[in-house]
Amino acid sequence: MAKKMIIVDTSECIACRGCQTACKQWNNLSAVLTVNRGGYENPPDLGYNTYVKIRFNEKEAGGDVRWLFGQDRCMHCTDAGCEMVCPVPGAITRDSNGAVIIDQNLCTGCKYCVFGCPFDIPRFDSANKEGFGKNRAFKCTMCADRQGMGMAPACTKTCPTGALTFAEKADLPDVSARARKAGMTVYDGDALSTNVVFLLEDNPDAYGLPAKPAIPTPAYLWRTVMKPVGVVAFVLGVLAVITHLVTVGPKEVEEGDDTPSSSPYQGGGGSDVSSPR
Amino acid sequence: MSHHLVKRFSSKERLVHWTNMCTFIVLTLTGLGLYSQTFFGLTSIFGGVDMSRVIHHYAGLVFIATTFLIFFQWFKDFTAAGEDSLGDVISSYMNHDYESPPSGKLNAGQKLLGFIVFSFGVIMGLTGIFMWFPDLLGRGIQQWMYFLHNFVFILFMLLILLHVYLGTAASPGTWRGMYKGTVTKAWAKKHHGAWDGDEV
Ligand code: HEM
Ligand code: SF4
Ligand code: SF4
Repeated sequence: MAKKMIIVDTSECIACRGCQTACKQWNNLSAVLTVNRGGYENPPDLGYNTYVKIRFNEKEAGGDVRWLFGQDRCMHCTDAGCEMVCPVPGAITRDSNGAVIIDQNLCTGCKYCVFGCPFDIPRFDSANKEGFGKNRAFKCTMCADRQGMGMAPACTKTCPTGALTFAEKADLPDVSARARKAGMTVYDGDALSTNVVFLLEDNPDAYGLPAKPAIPTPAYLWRTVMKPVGVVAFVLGVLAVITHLVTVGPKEVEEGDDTPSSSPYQGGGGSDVSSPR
Repeated sequence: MSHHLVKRFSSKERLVHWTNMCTFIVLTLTGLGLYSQTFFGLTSIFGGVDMSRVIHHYAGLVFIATTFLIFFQWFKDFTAAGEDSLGDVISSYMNHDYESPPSGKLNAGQKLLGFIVFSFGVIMGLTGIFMWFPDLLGRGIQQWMYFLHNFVFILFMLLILLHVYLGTAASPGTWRGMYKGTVTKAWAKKHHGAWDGDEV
Protein backbone atom coordinates (compact mmCIF):
# COMPACT_ATOMS: atom_id res chain seq x y z
CA MET A 1 0.00 0.00 0.00
CA ALA A 2 1.09 3.52 -0.63
CA LYS A 3 2.19 5.75 2.18
CA LYS A 4 -0.44 7.93 3.77
CA MET A 5 -0.32 11.10 5.80
CA ILE A 6 -2.49 13.04 8.19
CA ILE A 7 -2.43 16.76 7.49
CA VAL A 8 -3.10 19.08 10.42
CA ASP A 9 -4.03 22.49 9.04
CA THR A 10 -3.90 24.62 12.16
CA SER A 11 -5.55 27.57 10.44
CA GLU A 12 -8.75 25.56 10.17
CA CYS A 13 -8.78 24.20 13.72
CA ILE A 14 -11.45 25.65 16.01
CA ALA A 15 -10.43 23.51 18.99
CA CYS A 16 -13.74 21.69 19.21
CA ARG A 17 -11.75 18.62 20.29
CA GLY A 18 -13.92 16.31 18.22
CA CYS A 19 -10.72 14.46 17.32
CA GLN A 20 -9.99 13.73 20.99
CA THR A 21 -13.44 12.28 21.43
CA ALA A 22 -13.51 10.32 18.19
CA CYS A 23 -10.11 8.81 19.05
CA LYS A 24 -11.33 7.70 22.47
CA GLN A 25 -14.48 6.26 20.96
CA TRP A 26 -12.84 4.26 18.17
CA ASN A 27 -9.99 3.00 20.30
CA ASN A 28 -12.27 2.31 23.24
CA LEU A 29 -10.17 4.47 25.59
CA SER A 30 -11.40 5.33 29.05
CA ALA A 31 -12.11 8.93 30.04
CA VAL A 32 -9.78 10.89 32.28
CA LEU A 33 -11.16 12.58 35.38
CA THR A 34 -9.76 16.11 35.35
CA VAL A 35 -10.14 19.34 37.27
CA ASN A 36 -10.80 22.86 36.04
CA ARG A 37 -7.42 24.41 35.49
CA GLY A 38 -8.79 27.73 34.32
CA GLY A 39 -8.73 27.00 30.60
CA TYR A 40 -10.30 24.91 27.90
CA GLU A 41 -7.31 22.71 27.34
CA ASN A 42 -8.09 19.30 28.76
CA PRO A 43 -6.88 16.72 29.78
CA PRO A 44 -3.52 18.15 30.92
CA ASP A 45 -1.38 15.63 29.05
CA LEU A 46 -1.41 12.69 26.69
CA GLY A 47 -1.87 9.41 28.50
CA TYR A 48 -2.03 5.67 27.98
CA ASN A 49 -5.71 6.34 27.31
CA THR A 50 -5.33 9.68 25.48
CA TYR A 51 -3.63 9.48 22.09
CA VAL A 52 -4.43 12.98 20.81
CA LYS A 53 -4.91 16.25 22.58
CA ILE A 54 -5.57 19.75 21.30
CA ARG A 55 -3.09 22.18 22.74
CA PHE A 56 -4.24 25.76 23.35
CA ASN A 57 -1.14 27.82 22.74
CA GLU A 58 -1.50 31.43 23.69
CA LYS A 59 0.61 34.08 22.04
CA GLU A 60 0.67 37.78 22.70
CA ALA A 61 1.16 40.12 19.79
CA GLY A 62 0.63 43.89 19.95
CA GLY A 63 -1.49 43.78 23.09
CA ASP A 64 -3.67 41.07 21.59
CA VAL A 65 -3.78 37.46 22.62
CA ARG A 66 -3.90 34.91 19.84
CA TRP A 67 -4.86 31.30 20.24
CA LEU A 68 -2.77 28.93 18.19
CA PHE A 69 -4.35 25.50 18.27
CA GLY A 70 -1.93 22.64 17.96
CA GLN A 71 -2.31 18.93 18.33
CA ASP A 72 -0.19 16.66 20.53
CA ARG A 73 0.07 13.23 18.94
CA CYS A 74 2.47 10.67 17.57
CA MET A 75 3.96 12.04 14.37
CA HIS A 76 4.51 8.60 12.79
CA CYS A 77 8.12 9.29 11.89
CA THR A 78 9.71 7.49 8.97
CA ASP A 79 12.96 7.59 10.96
CA ALA A 80 11.41 6.77 14.32
CA GLY A 81 13.43 7.19 17.51
CA CYS A 82 11.03 5.02 19.48
CA GLU A 83 11.56 2.13 17.08
CA MET A 84 15.32 2.64 17.13
CA VAL A 85 15.63 2.25 20.89
CA CYS A 86 13.02 -0.43 21.54
CA PRO A 87 14.91 -3.57 22.66
CA VAL A 88 12.10 -6.04 22.04
CA PRO A 89 11.77 -7.48 18.53
CA GLY A 90 8.36 -6.68 17.08
CA ALA A 91 7.17 -4.42 19.91
CA ILE A 92 7.34 -1.31 17.69
CA THR A 93 6.76 -1.80 13.99
CA ARG A 94 5.86 0.26 10.99
CA ASP A 95 3.26 -0.77 8.45
CA SER A 96 3.32 -0.13 4.72
CA ASN A 97 1.08 2.93 5.13
CA GLY A 98 3.70 4.54 7.33
CA ALA A 99 1.97 4.04 10.69
CA VAL A 100 4.27 3.32 13.65
CA ILE A 101 2.54 0.85 15.95
CA ILE A 102 3.30 -0.43 19.46
CA ASP A 103 2.20 -3.99 20.22
CA GLN A 104 1.32 -4.00 23.92
CA ASN A 105 1.47 -7.79 23.97
CA LEU A 106 5.20 -7.62 23.25
CA CYS A 107 6.11 -4.35 24.99
CA THR A 108 7.82 -4.97 28.33
CA GLY A 109 7.53 -1.51 29.83
CA CYS A 110 11.17 -0.39 29.83
CA LYS A 111 10.19 3.17 28.82
CA TYR A 112 13.17 3.48 26.46
CA CYS A 113 10.84 4.60 23.65
CA VAL A 114 9.76 7.84 25.29
CA PHE A 115 13.41 8.82 25.67
CA GLY A 116 14.12 7.98 22.04
CA CYS A 117 11.14 9.96 20.77
CA PRO A 118 11.90 13.52 19.62
CA PHE A 119 8.35 14.57 20.52
CA ASP A 120 7.95 12.95 23.98
CA ILE A 121 4.93 10.93 22.89
CA PRO A 122 4.58 7.40 24.33
CA ARG A 123 2.76 7.18 27.66
CA PHE A 124 2.68 4.27 30.10
CA ASP A 125 -0.08 2.32 31.80
CA SER A 126 1.55 2.38 35.23
CA ALA A 127 -1.35 0.77 37.08
CA ASN A 128 -1.97 -1.92 34.43
CA LYS A 129 -5.49 -0.69 33.76
CA GLU A 130 -5.51 -2.19 30.27
CA GLY A 131 -4.41 -5.63 31.43
CA PHE A 132 -1.30 -5.96 29.24
CA GLY A 133 1.06 -5.54 32.19
CA LYS A 134 2.64 -2.72 34.13
CA ASN A 135 3.98 0.28 32.21
CA ARG A 136 3.06 -0.96 28.74
CA ALA A 137 3.51 1.84 26.19
CA PHE A 138 0.58 3.40 24.34
CA LYS A 139 0.26 6.03 21.65
CA CYS A 140 -1.64 6.91 18.49
CA THR A 141 -1.77 4.05 15.99
CA MET A 142 -2.71 6.25 13.00
CA CYS A 143 -5.79 4.02 13.13
CA ALA A 144 -3.90 1.25 11.37
CA ASP A 145 -6.86 -1.02 12.03
CA ARG A 146 -9.26 1.35 10.28
CA GLN A 147 -6.81 1.88 7.44
CA GLY A 148 -6.65 -1.88 7.01
CA MET A 149 -10.39 -1.81 6.34
CA GLY A 150 -10.08 1.03 3.87
CA MET A 151 -11.23 3.71 6.30
CA ALA A 152 -9.61 7.01 7.25
CA PRO A 153 -8.33 7.55 10.81
CA ALA A 154 -11.15 8.40 13.22
CA CYS A 155 -9.86 11.90 13.99
CA THR A 156 -9.71 12.91 10.33
CA LYS A 157 -13.12 11.40 9.72
CA THR A 158 -14.72 13.39 12.50
CA CYS A 159 -12.99 16.76 12.07
CA PRO A 160 -15.80 19.17 11.03
CA THR A 161 -13.68 21.97 9.62
CA GLY A 162 -11.19 20.14 7.47
CA ALA A 163 -8.30 20.89 9.82
CA LEU A 164 -7.49 17.18 9.82
CA THR A 165 -7.35 15.42 6.49
CA PHE A 166 -6.08 12.04 5.42
CA ALA A 167 -4.12 11.99 2.18
CA GLU A 168 -1.55 10.21 0.06
CA LYS A 169 1.99 11.00 1.21
CA ALA A 170 2.86 11.46 -2.44
CA ASP A 171 0.74 14.61 -2.44
CA LEU A 172 2.98 16.31 0.10
CA PRO A 173 4.86 18.50 -2.41
CA ASP A 174 1.60 19.90 -3.76
CA VAL A 175 0.13 20.42 -0.31
CA SER A 176 3.32 22.12 0.86
CA ALA A 177 3.49 24.41 -2.13
CA ARG A 178 -0.09 25.53 -1.59
CA ALA A 179 0.44 26.05 2.15
CA ARG A 180 3.62 28.05 1.63
CA LYS A 181 1.86 30.25 -0.89
CA ALA A 182 -0.73 30.97 1.80
CA GLY A 183 2.11 32.03 4.12
CA MET A 184 2.13 28.93 6.31
CA THR A 185 5.02 26.88 7.65
CA VAL A 186 5.10 23.21 6.64
CA TYR A 187 6.26 21.03 9.50
CA ASP A 188 7.10 17.47 8.49
CA GLY A 189 9.90 16.65 10.93
CA ASP A 190 12.68 17.43 8.41
CA ALA A 191 14.91 14.35 8.18
CA LEU A 192 12.50 12.33 10.34
CA SER A 193 9.96 12.65 7.53
CA THR A 194 6.88 12.39 9.72
CA ASN A 195 3.63 11.03 8.30
CA VAL A 196 1.71 13.59 10.29
CA VAL A 197 2.30 16.96 8.67
CA PHE A 198 1.46 20.25 10.33
CA LEU A 199 0.62 23.40 8.44
CA LEU A 200 1.42 26.13 10.94
CA GLU A 201 0.45 29.78 11.10
CA ASP A 202 3.49 30.66 13.17
CA ASN A 203 6.88 29.16 13.86
CA PRO A 204 7.02 25.66 15.44
CA ASP A 205 8.06 27.03 18.87
CA ALA A 206 4.76 28.85 19.17
CA TYR A 207 3.03 25.48 18.94
CA GLY A 208 5.35 23.76 21.39
CA LEU A 209 6.97 21.78 18.57
CA PRO A 210 10.76 21.38 18.46
CA ALA A 211 12.17 23.79 15.87
CA LYS A 212 14.77 21.27 14.72
CA PRO A 213 13.22 17.85 15.34
CA ALA A 214 15.76 15.05 15.49
CA ILE A 215 16.31 11.80 17.33
CA PRO A 216 17.88 12.88 20.65
CA THR A 217 21.70 12.82 20.46
CA PRO A 218 22.21 10.66 23.57
CA ALA A 219 19.69 8.11 22.29
CA TYR A 220 21.43 8.02 18.92
CA LEU A 221 24.87 7.59 20.53
CA TRP A 222 23.55 5.00 22.95
CA ARG A 223 22.01 2.73 20.34
CA THR A 224 23.25 3.43 16.85
CA VAL A 225 26.84 4.34 17.67
CA MET A 226 27.75 2.42 20.83
CA LYS A 227 26.45 -0.97 19.72
CA PRO A 228 28.98 -1.53 16.93
CA VAL A 229 31.64 0.31 18.94
CA GLY A 230 31.11 -2.05 21.86
CA VAL A 231 31.17 -5.19 19.75
CA VAL A 232 34.31 -4.12 17.87
CA ALA A 233 36.04 -3.03 21.09
CA PHE A 234 35.32 -6.40 22.69
CA VAL A 235 36.59 -8.36 19.68
CA LEU A 236 39.75 -6.22 19.51
CA GLY A 237 40.24 -6.69 23.24
CA VAL A 238 40.07 -10.47 22.92
CA LEU A 239 42.42 -10.37 19.93
CA ALA A 240 44.88 -8.20 21.87
CA VAL A 241 44.87 -10.66 24.76
CA ILE A 242 45.44 -13.62 22.45
CA THR A 243 48.21 -11.77 20.63
CA HIS A 244 49.95 -11.02 23.91
CA LEU A 245 49.60 -14.61 25.04
CA VAL A 246 51.16 -16.11 21.91
CA THR A 247 53.86 -13.50 21.32
CA VAL A 248 55.11 -12.16 24.67
CA GLY A 249 53.60 -15.04 26.61
CA PRO A 250 52.81 -15.45 30.28
CA LYS A 251 54.97 -14.11 33.08
CA GLU A 252 56.06 -17.46 34.46
CA VAL A 253 57.27 -18.11 37.97
CA GLU A 254 60.53 -20.01 38.12
CA GLU A 255 59.78 -23.31 39.77
CA GLY A 256 61.83 -23.55 42.92
CA ASP A 257 61.98 -26.03 45.77
CA ASP A 258 59.15 -24.23 47.45
CA THR A 259 56.76 -24.58 44.54
CA PRO A 260 54.45 -27.56 44.55
CA SER A 261 55.13 -28.98 41.10
CA SER A 262 51.92 -31.00 41.13
CA SER A 263 49.78 -27.97 41.81
CA PRO A 264 47.13 -27.48 39.15
CA TYR A 265 47.03 -23.78 40.03
CA GLN A 266 50.59 -23.30 38.97
CA GLY A 267 49.73 -23.12 35.29
CA GLY A 268 52.65 -23.85 32.99
CA GLY A 269 55.06 -24.21 35.89
CA GLY A 270 57.70 -22.16 34.16
CA SER A 271 60.43 -24.75 33.66
CA ASP A 272 61.05 -23.21 30.23
CA VAL A 273 61.91 -19.78 31.65
CA SER A 274 65.63 -19.15 31.61
CA SER A 275 66.62 -16.61 34.19
CA PRO A 276 64.97 -16.21 37.58
CA ARG A 277 65.21 -12.80 39.12
CA MET B 1 57.39 -30.92 52.62
CA SER B 2 58.22 -28.51 49.90
CA HIS B 3 54.90 -26.66 49.92
CA HIS B 4 55.84 -23.18 50.98
CA LEU B 5 52.64 -21.22 50.75
CA VAL B 6 51.84 -17.66 51.67
CA LYS B 7 48.41 -16.43 52.77
CA ARG B 8 47.12 -13.87 50.28
CA PHE B 9 43.39 -13.38 50.78
CA SER B 10 41.09 -14.39 53.62
CA SER B 11 38.00 -16.45 52.89
CA LYS B 12 35.82 -13.41 53.64
CA GLU B 13 37.75 -11.31 51.12
CA ARG B 14 37.47 -14.03 48.51
CA LEU B 15 33.74 -14.54 49.10
CA VAL B 16 33.15 -10.82 48.48
CA HIS B 17 35.23 -10.91 45.30
CA TRP B 18 33.50 -14.06 44.02
CA THR B 19 30.05 -12.61 44.63
CA ASN B 20 31.09 -9.47 42.80
CA MET B 21 32.43 -11.52 39.89
CA CYS B 22 29.34 -13.72 39.60
CA THR B 23 26.96 -10.75 39.69
CA PHE B 24 29.09 -9.01 37.07
CA ILE B 25 28.65 -11.96 34.71
CA VAL B 26 24.91 -12.17 35.41
CA LEU B 27 24.58 -8.38 34.94
CA THR B 28 26.44 -8.49 31.65
CA LEU B 29 24.27 -11.28 30.25
CA THR B 30 20.93 -9.92 31.49
CA GLY B 31 21.94 -6.33 30.65
CA LEU B 32 22.87 -7.16 27.07
CA GLY B 33 19.55 -8.96 26.62
CA LEU B 34 17.76 -5.81 27.79
CA TYR B 35 19.89 -3.54 25.61
CA SER B 36 19.05 -4.30 22.04
CA GLN B 37 17.15 -6.58 19.71
CA THR B 38 20.55 -7.89 18.56
CA PHE B 39 21.13 -9.53 21.96
CA PHE B 40 17.48 -10.20 22.77
CA GLY B 41 18.09 -13.97 22.61
CA LEU B 42 20.08 -13.75 25.86
CA THR B 43 16.87 -13.02 27.77
CA SER B 44 15.75 -16.60 27.18
CA ILE B 45 18.57 -17.87 29.43
CA PHE B 46 16.88 -16.11 32.31
CA GLY B 47 13.31 -16.98 31.41
CA GLY B 48 12.27 -13.96 29.39
CA VAL B 49 12.58 -10.20 29.40
CA ASP B 50 10.63 -9.58 32.57
CA MET B 51 12.69 -12.09 34.54
CA SER B 52 15.92 -10.73 33.03
CA ARG B 53 14.97 -7.27 34.19
CA VAL B 54 14.16 -8.36 37.75
CA ILE B 55 17.40 -10.35 37.95
CA HIS B 56 19.39 -7.43 36.53
CA HIS B 57 17.98 -5.02 39.09
CA TYR B 58 18.62 -7.19 42.15
CA ALA B 59 21.95 -8.55 40.96
CA GLY B 60 22.83 -4.88 40.42
CA LEU B 61 22.17 -4.15 44.07
CA VAL B 62 24.38 -7.07 45.17
CA PHE B 63 27.03 -5.98 42.71
CA ILE B 64 27.15 -2.42 43.97
CA ALA B 65 27.21 -3.60 47.60
CA THR B 66 30.15 -5.93 46.94
CA THR B 67 31.87 -3.21 44.91
CA PHE B 68 31.88 -1.05 48.04
CA LEU B 69 33.00 -3.98 50.21
CA ILE B 70 35.91 -4.69 47.87
CA PHE B 71 36.98 -1.08 47.91
CA PHE B 72 36.93 -0.87 51.69
CA GLN B 73 38.41 -4.28 52.45
CA TRP B 74 41.42 -3.53 50.25
CA PHE B 75 41.51 0.23 50.70
CA LYS B 76 44.75 0.01 52.71
CA ASP B 77 46.40 -1.96 49.91
CA PHE B 78 45.04 0.30 47.16
CA THR B 79 46.50 3.36 48.88
CA ALA B 80 49.77 1.81 50.11
CA ALA B 81 52.98 3.42 48.86
CA GLY B 82 55.09 1.36 46.47
CA GLU B 83 58.34 1.66 44.55
CA ASP B 84 56.92 0.43 41.27
CA SER B 85 55.05 2.61 38.79
CA LEU B 86 52.31 1.76 36.32
CA GLY B 87 54.91 1.96 33.56
CA ASP B 88 57.03 -0.66 35.36
CA VAL B 89 54.06 -3.03 35.57
CA ILE B 90 53.22 -2.62 31.89
CA SER B 91 56.85 -3.04 30.85
CA SER B 92 57.22 -6.19 32.93
CA TYR B 93 54.28 -7.76 31.10
CA MET B 94 55.47 -6.63 27.67
CA ASN B 95 59.06 -7.76 28.18
CA HIS B 96 59.97 -10.56 30.58
CA ASP B 97 63.55 -9.29 30.95
CA TYR B 98 62.42 -5.94 32.28
CA GLU B 99 63.79 -5.20 35.75
CA SER B 100 60.92 -3.69 37.72
CA PRO B 101 61.32 -2.39 41.26
CA PRO B 102 59.63 -4.92 43.57
CA SER B 103 55.93 -4.41 44.19
CA GLY B 104 54.19 -4.52 47.54
CA LYS B 105 51.10 -6.66 48.16
CA LEU B 106 49.54 -5.01 45.12
CA ASN B 107 51.43 -3.59 42.18
CA ALA B 108 50.79 -0.11 40.78
CA GLY B 109 48.41 -1.43 38.13
CA GLN B 110 46.32 -3.33 40.66
CA LYS B 111 46.02 -0.25 42.85
CA LEU B 112 44.84 1.81 39.91
CA LEU B 113 42.39 -0.94 38.97
CA GLY B 114 40.97 -0.76 42.50
CA PHE B 115 40.06 2.89 42.05
CA ILE B 116 38.78 2.57 38.49
CA VAL B 117 36.60 -0.44 39.27
CA PHE B 118 35.13 1.40 42.24
CA SER B 119 34.36 4.49 40.14
CA PHE B 120 32.87 2.42 37.33
CA GLY B 121 30.82 0.46 39.84
CA VAL B 122 29.42 3.66 41.32
CA ILE B 123 28.60 5.08 37.87
CA MET B 124 26.93 1.83 36.80
CA GLY B 125 24.96 1.78 40.04
CA LEU B 126 23.83 5.40 39.84
CA THR B 127 22.88 5.34 36.16
CA GLY B 128 21.29 1.92 36.72
CA ILE B 129 19.08 3.22 39.53
CA PHE B 130 17.88 6.01 37.25
CA MET B 131 17.15 3.47 34.52
CA TRP B 132 15.24 1.40 37.05
CA PHE B 133 13.14 4.46 37.96
CA PRO B 134 13.18 6.45 34.71
CA ASP B 135 10.84 9.18 35.90
CA LEU B 136 13.07 10.56 38.65
CA LEU B 137 15.12 12.85 36.42
CA GLY B 138 14.11 15.24 33.69
CA ARG B 139 13.88 13.92 30.16
CA GLY B 140 17.06 15.60 28.95
CA ILE B 141 19.26 14.14 31.70
CA GLN B 142 17.61 10.73 31.69
CA GLN B 143 18.52 10.26 28.01
CA TRP B 144 22.18 10.53 29.02
CA MET B 145 21.77 7.91 31.75
CA TYR B 146 21.19 5.19 29.15
CA PHE B 147 24.19 6.32 27.18
CA LEU B 148 26.42 6.50 30.27
CA HIS B 149 25.36 3.09 31.58
CA ASN B 150 26.18 1.67 28.19
CA PHE B 151 29.42 3.58 27.62
CA VAL B 152 30.86 2.77 31.04
CA PHE B 153 29.73 -0.84 30.59
CA ILE B 154 31.91 -1.10 27.47
CA LEU B 155 34.94 0.35 29.29
CA PHE B 156 34.20 -1.88 32.29
CA MET B 157 33.97 -4.98 30.12
CA LEU B 158 37.34 -4.21 28.48
CA LEU B 159 38.94 -3.53 31.84
CA ILE B 160 37.63 -6.76 33.33
CA LEU B 161 38.76 -8.69 30.26
CA LEU B 162 42.28 -7.39 30.93
CA HIS B 163 41.95 -8.06 34.66
CA VAL B 164 40.84 -11.66 34.09
CA TYR B 165 43.64 -12.25 31.61
CA LEU B 166 46.29 -10.87 33.95
CA GLY B 167 44.87 -12.90 36.83
CA THR B 168 44.89 -16.18 34.91
CA ALA B 169 46.69 -16.98 31.66
CA ALA B 170 49.13 -14.07 31.73
CA SER B 171 50.59 -14.90 35.13
CA PRO B 172 50.31 -18.54 36.17
CA GLY B 173 49.86 -19.07 39.89
CA THR B 174 47.87 -15.90 40.46
CA TRP B 175 44.45 -17.51 40.22
CA ARG B 176 45.35 -19.69 43.18
CA GLY B 177 45.20 -16.59 45.42
CA MET B 178 41.58 -16.03 44.55
CA TYR B 179 40.68 -19.72 44.50
CA LYS B 180 42.54 -21.11 47.52
CA GLY B 181 43.53 -17.89 49.23
CA THR B 182 47.20 -18.86 49.17
CA VAL B 183 50.04 -18.41 46.70
CA THR B 184 53.41 -20.08 46.44
CA LYS B 185 56.43 -18.38 47.91
CA ALA B 186 58.14 -18.32 44.52
CA TRP B 187 55.12 -16.56 43.04
CA ALA B 188 55.12 -13.97 45.80
CA LYS B 189 58.82 -13.32 45.34
CA LYS B 190 58.47 -12.95 41.59
CA HIS B 191 55.39 -10.73 41.46
CA HIS B 192 55.37 -8.95 44.80
CA GLY B 193 58.96 -8.86 45.97
CA ALA B 194 58.41 -6.14 48.54
CA TRP B 195 55.42 -7.92 50.11
CA ASP B 196 56.00 -9.79 53.32
CA GLY B 197 53.07 -12.22 53.49
CA ASP B 198 52.45 -14.71 56.27
CA GLU B 199 53.55 -18.23 55.55
CA VAL B 200 51.00 -20.96 56.14
C1 HEM C 1 25.28 -1.62 39.87
C2 HEM C 1 24.06 -1.70 39.71
C3 HEM C 1 23.34 -1.76 38.40
C4 HEM C 1 22.05 -1.37 38.27
C5 HEM C 1 21.16 -0.87 39.39
C6 HEM C 1 21.69 -1.54 36.89
C7 HEM C 1 20.45 -1.23 36.36
C8 HEM C 1 20.13 -1.32 35.03
C9 HEM C 1 18.87 -1.02 34.49
C10 HEM C 1 17.67 -0.53 35.28
C11 HEM C 1 18.91 -1.26 33.17
C12 HEM C 1 17.77 -1.10 32.19
C13 HEM C 1 17.13 -2.43 32.06
C14 HEM C 1 15.70 -2.31 32.02
O1 HEM C 1 15.08 -1.91 33.01
O2 HEM C 1 15.18 -2.66 30.97
C15 HEM C 1 20.19 -1.70 32.84
C16 HEM C 1 20.61 -2.04 31.59
C17 HEM C 1 21.85 -2.57 31.31
N1 HEM C 1 22.84 -2.88 32.24
FE1 HEM C 1 22.78 -2.43 34.20
N2 HEM C 1 22.73 -2.02 36.20
C18 HEM C 1 23.78 -2.19 37.09
C19 HEM C 1 25.03 -2.67 36.82
C20 HEM C 1 25.41 -3.16 35.59
C21 HEM C 1 26.67 -3.77 35.34
C22 HEM C 1 27.76 -3.97 36.36
C23 HEM C 1 26.67 -4.14 34.04
C24 HEM C 1 27.72 -4.84 33.24
C25 HEM C 1 28.79 -5.28 33.67
C26 HEM C 1 25.43 -3.72 33.45
C27 HEM C 1 25.08 -3.87 32.13
C28 HEM C 1 23.92 -3.41 31.56
C29 HEM C 1 23.62 -3.43 30.16
C30 HEM C 1 24.54 -3.93 29.06
C31 HEM C 1 22.33 -2.89 30.01
C32 HEM C 1 21.54 -2.71 28.72
C33 HEM C 1 21.26 -1.27 28.45
C34 HEM C 1 22.47 -0.47 28.09
O3 HEM C 1 23.53 -1.03 27.81
O4 HEM C 1 22.36 0.75 28.08
N3 HEM C 1 24.66 -3.13 34.42
N4 HEM C 1 20.94 -1.74 34.00
S1 SF4 D 1 6.55 10.72 17.21
FE1 SF4 D 1 7.70 9.55 18.73
S2 SF4 D 1 6.37 7.81 19.18
FE2 SF4 D 1 5.65 8.68 17.23
S3 SF4 D 1 6.80 7.54 15.64
FE3 SF4 D 1 7.98 9.39 16.09
S4 SF4 D 1 9.45 8.67 17.62
FE4 SF4 D 1 7.83 7.16 17.59
S1 SF4 E 1 8.38 0.53 26.71
FE1 SF4 E 1 7.70 -1.12 25.32
S2 SF4 E 1 7.52 -0.19 23.29
FE2 SF4 E 1 8.68 1.23 24.57
S3 SF4 E 1 10.83 0.67 24.14
FE3 SF4 E 1 10.24 -0.50 25.95
S4 SF4 E 1 9.50 -2.49 25.15
FE4 SF4 E 1 9.60 -1.05 23.41
